[in-house]
Amino acid sequence: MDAYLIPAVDGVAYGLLLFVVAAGLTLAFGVGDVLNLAHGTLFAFGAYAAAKVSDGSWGSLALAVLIGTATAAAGGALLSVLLVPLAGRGHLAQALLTFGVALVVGDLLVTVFGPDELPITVPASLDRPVDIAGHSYPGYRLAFIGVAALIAVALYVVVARTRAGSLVRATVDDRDMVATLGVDPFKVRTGVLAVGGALAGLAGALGAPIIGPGPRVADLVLLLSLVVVVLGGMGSIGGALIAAIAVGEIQTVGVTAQPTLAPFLMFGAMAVVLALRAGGLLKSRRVAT
Amino acid sequence: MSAFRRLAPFGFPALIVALVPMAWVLDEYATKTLTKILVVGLLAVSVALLTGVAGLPTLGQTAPYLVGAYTAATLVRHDVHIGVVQLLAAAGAGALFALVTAPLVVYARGVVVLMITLALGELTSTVAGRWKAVTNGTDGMLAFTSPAPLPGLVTLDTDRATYLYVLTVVAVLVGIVLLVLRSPAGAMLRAARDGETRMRASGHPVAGYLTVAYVAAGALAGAAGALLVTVERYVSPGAGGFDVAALVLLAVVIGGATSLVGALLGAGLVVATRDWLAGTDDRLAGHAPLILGGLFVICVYLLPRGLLGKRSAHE
Amino acid sequence: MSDLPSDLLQVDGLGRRYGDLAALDGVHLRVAPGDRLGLIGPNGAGKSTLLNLIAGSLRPTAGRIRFDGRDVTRLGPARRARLGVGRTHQHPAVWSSLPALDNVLVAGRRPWGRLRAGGRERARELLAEVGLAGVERTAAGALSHGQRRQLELAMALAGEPRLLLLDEPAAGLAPPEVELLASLLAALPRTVAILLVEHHLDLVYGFADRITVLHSGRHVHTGTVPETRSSPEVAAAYAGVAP
Repeated sequence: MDAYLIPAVDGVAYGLLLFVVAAGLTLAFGVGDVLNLAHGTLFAFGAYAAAKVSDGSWGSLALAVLIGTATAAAGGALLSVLLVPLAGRGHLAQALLTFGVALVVGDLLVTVFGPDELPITVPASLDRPVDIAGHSYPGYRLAFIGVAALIAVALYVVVARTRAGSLVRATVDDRDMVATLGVDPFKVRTGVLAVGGALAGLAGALGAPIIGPGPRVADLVLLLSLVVVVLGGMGSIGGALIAAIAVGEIQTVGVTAQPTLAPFLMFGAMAVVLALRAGGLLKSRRVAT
Repeated sequence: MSAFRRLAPFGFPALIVALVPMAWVLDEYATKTLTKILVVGLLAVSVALLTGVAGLPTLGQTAPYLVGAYTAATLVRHDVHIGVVQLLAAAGAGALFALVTAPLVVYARGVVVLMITLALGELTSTVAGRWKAVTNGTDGMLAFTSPAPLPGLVTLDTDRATYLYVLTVVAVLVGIVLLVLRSPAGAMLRAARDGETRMRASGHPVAGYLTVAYVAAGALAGAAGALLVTVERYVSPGAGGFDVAALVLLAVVIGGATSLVGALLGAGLVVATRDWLAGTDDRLAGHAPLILGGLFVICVYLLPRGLLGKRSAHE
Repeated sequence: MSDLPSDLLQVDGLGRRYGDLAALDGVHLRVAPGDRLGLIGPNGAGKSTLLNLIAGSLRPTAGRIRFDGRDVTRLGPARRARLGVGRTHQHPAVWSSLPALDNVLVAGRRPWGRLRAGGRERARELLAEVGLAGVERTAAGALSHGQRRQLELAMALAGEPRLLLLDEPAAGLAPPEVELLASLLAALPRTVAILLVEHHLDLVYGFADRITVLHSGRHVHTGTVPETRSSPEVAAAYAGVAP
């Protein structure tokens, strides 16, 4: 059991990272009504920012986080503008456009940053092992768990306790809410795609030492956050957190212990959850699409 | 329009008849390219069956495609060199995969299907990369020996023979699907796509019908996987990667989604455009995702009356 | 209300709440085979809710529904349809890409595709009966709203229901179309019981054996047409005053 302690802690870090990414995806999907298949690419913006800007000083890390978050937010907003000509064309056309954009931008990222995974430099004071229960553990990851947990708590507080959050929850429950508010739907969509992008970029910049920038990162992050959304359901932030940690553990403990079995576990978890919840996400979407 | 409708049933036989002489007209390279297009086209037909006819937009048919390809490659390694046997086994494996994953797919609708099938496809490709004992991991599986289509027939040693074999298989399978779709079963599937509420109100088990369509599409994709192994003599997880899923969905979007023949033509158009662009401009060589993505964006903007416009009318 | 074994439909204490709002509250209803029951009430009375609960497209939060002696409360709409509950929708539900005739054919097929007796001929007849003989090959999506309503009626009849639930079949129809509808309904065989939800009161009065009045989700009256016309409770309900 002891051999799995380190992967298990890694799984928590991985899971929290996925939670922040998936929260952005859910926001765009639940409120903006857009399945953003370029979400993983926005994560890559943050990860590449960390690889290129962060040089071991705290200031450069802060700058990387700022750049990663800002470019990903801008990317999200730009997607919303690109969707304008598709007004009235349905959700599928929108999803396919984001998919095409993801392919194009993913290729451009490889052209600019090269086909290899880039190494990440973290601040020196975090770049050393700390001791947990007799095991040495990378300091950065421990710090990341703390920061990501803070972000998760902040997200929870915003969604559960603020007026904006209650609007978000109401809209996820009932899409027509947006129309009754009298707010310009374009502004709502742009706003949620930008905020969703910002969350992906933030996660990418902070989480680059965990899921590093490379040609496969966008696909991987998109896949895992889709699984988290499917497992966690819509609108339930607690469900998404549990799902994210579970997927994180499968990706770490699972892959360490049973590399072949890990993807099957993911299949199995999705099958079980979808079967148990014949309503929930699916039922509400059936009406919406 | 009515003239077009009257001629539509002849489109597919005419296409096949036009393709046969290509075996003697084209050079080796072009024959091989056309063979590959037919394989991708068959996969695109399975995507069109789900996306356009049944109304389940999918990015995950690469999964049964991979399952079929690995099944065929495994048979080759166990000295089964009869093409039809490989095909049937691969189609069966693809259908079985679909049957097992059907509960994940047939209760969801719209973009949620896209979301779930994308995950299914990627996870299957991941399994193919990790399950070394069965798939030989990311190195892929070689399947050198060419099959004979049926016992007693010549083995497919030339590009021309392989082309004619693949063309025959695609013609037969797509022909069967077209016939089924012209039967009442096709009308019932389209009705399920158009309006489930009324289907239920008329007592029809919609999820059951969609499961049948999904399993049939899985069998088609599995058969396409067997053809892939026959053509390439090799399969690796990359054969079912993101870009392949993108390529076939794009082919279907271009082809108009509800038309299976359109999907075949769309596959040809996408592969030809990609190869032509990559061949004419050095800067584009090696940038298949860029080209595919660009085509995707252009098509979504410029083809509102293809799949997408039509679907949104029902939403 | 007695529990006659001959009742086709028995609805007991049926309720449907949305949070604090009761769309339907403790409703009892009996429909015998071949019955013509009109269901009226002002907007928001719960008529469509009741109809959707009987059809199975909504789940009740209280009460029980029996059809042909069998408890169907927990069955989905497709299962109930197979037992013999047919319906039309307030917004006509047709398959827009299929021709009108194919709509009736598919609606008339048994599960997994077997054609009912009469098949194509019966489908043509039904289309003619609802006044759509000329548009057999027209895609349903290209029909007018009124025509789609008529088409869905033909589709519901094609399933040979024993209980037919009609949700405002006259809404949006022109006067001559309403007349056609009235004569069509009058000509339907007594093998099918009909529950008619309708705002067009003359149509209901001319058609129904009995009329049930709902108001604010509650049952306020059931009686013959003359009883209903002279009922003070009904007048009060329509005046917007709860009795």
